[in-house]
Amino acid sequence: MKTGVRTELGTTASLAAFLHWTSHYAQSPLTAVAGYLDMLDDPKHRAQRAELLGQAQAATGRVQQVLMSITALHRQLESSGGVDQVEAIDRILSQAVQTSGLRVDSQRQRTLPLACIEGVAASDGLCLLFAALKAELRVVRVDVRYRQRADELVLHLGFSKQRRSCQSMLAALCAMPGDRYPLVEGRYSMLATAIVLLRAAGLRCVMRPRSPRRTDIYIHMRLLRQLSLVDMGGDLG
Amino acid sequence: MTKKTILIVEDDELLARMYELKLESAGYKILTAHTAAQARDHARTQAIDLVLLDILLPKVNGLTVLKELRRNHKTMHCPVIVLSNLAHTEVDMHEDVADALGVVAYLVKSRVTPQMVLAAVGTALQAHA
Repeated sequence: MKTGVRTELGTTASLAAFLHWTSHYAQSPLTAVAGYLDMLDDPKHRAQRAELLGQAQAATGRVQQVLMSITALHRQLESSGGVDQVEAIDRILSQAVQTSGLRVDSQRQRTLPLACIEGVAASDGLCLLFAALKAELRVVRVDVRYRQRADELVLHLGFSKQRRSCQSMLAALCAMPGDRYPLVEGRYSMLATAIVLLRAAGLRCVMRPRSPRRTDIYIHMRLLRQLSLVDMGGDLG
Repeated sequence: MTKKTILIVEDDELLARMYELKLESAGYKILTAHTAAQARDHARTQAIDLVLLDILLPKVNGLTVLKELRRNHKTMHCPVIVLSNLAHTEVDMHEDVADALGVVAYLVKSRVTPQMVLAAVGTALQAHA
């Protein structure tokens, strides 16, 4: 059975709580955008223009991520029950990396271009996951590898400093029941939303702490299609 | 004249930096805490003239921080301005509670500009001088 966010299991109260916290979560960066723009207009802050602009842009990015997660959840609710689209991992992954702006070690990025998974939810989930790793967990570096034998995507996360709370939060999220609106300790969490969406796409996340500064997330995939390349050179010649 | 020291307790780094820049430009010395534990540390080790306090903090909320500030002899009488996205009725911050805890102003972040926060800080410090 396809797992995912299901309204019939989420109560009206939990939906109300989710809406309350997402709107609160969006309000802070919007306040920041308005505040930084206000300061940009003030000649006293002329010397700080570059920083003010950069902060306003960062705040705008955060609002976009909140809206992205609401849209993704809505899409998931609408399409729950069937596979809507099939996509290659490589494309989904590149899109997620690009959206997040995270530093990804491309030298080590080994993915299989033709492995196909359920598209939209996986794409939304990975985009949000990368954005959340940066914004919520302050991950500074990610190495991505695809292991064909186990059909899993392994994300090696590097933290700038010891963040035990992040590791326990990730572990709790990976074990979270799939039938709840993604709140953590009663508050909106982009990371939780990402994991709910990945589950909905049939991707199972397992977290393994390696050291205080390193954690790995194993994303097990249910491949829908595995195309193989055939060398047609001989026949065509 | 010595600079007045303001402690900003705000978990959102974008907002904390915004208030920091605004207040620094007006000549205040700024201490920033993103968690209750950092706020506690500053309150223990620094001389603070005013606290700008957010209510929704990770793990320990701002009201608990406020009560702790009141128990600390160094910050017992320090004026506190609450800055929150929640209306005061949503956080049980009714006028009598606010008075009892020495809250001199309750500002809803989305409704005030950094300039208005600066003005509120100036007024509170003057009233407390």
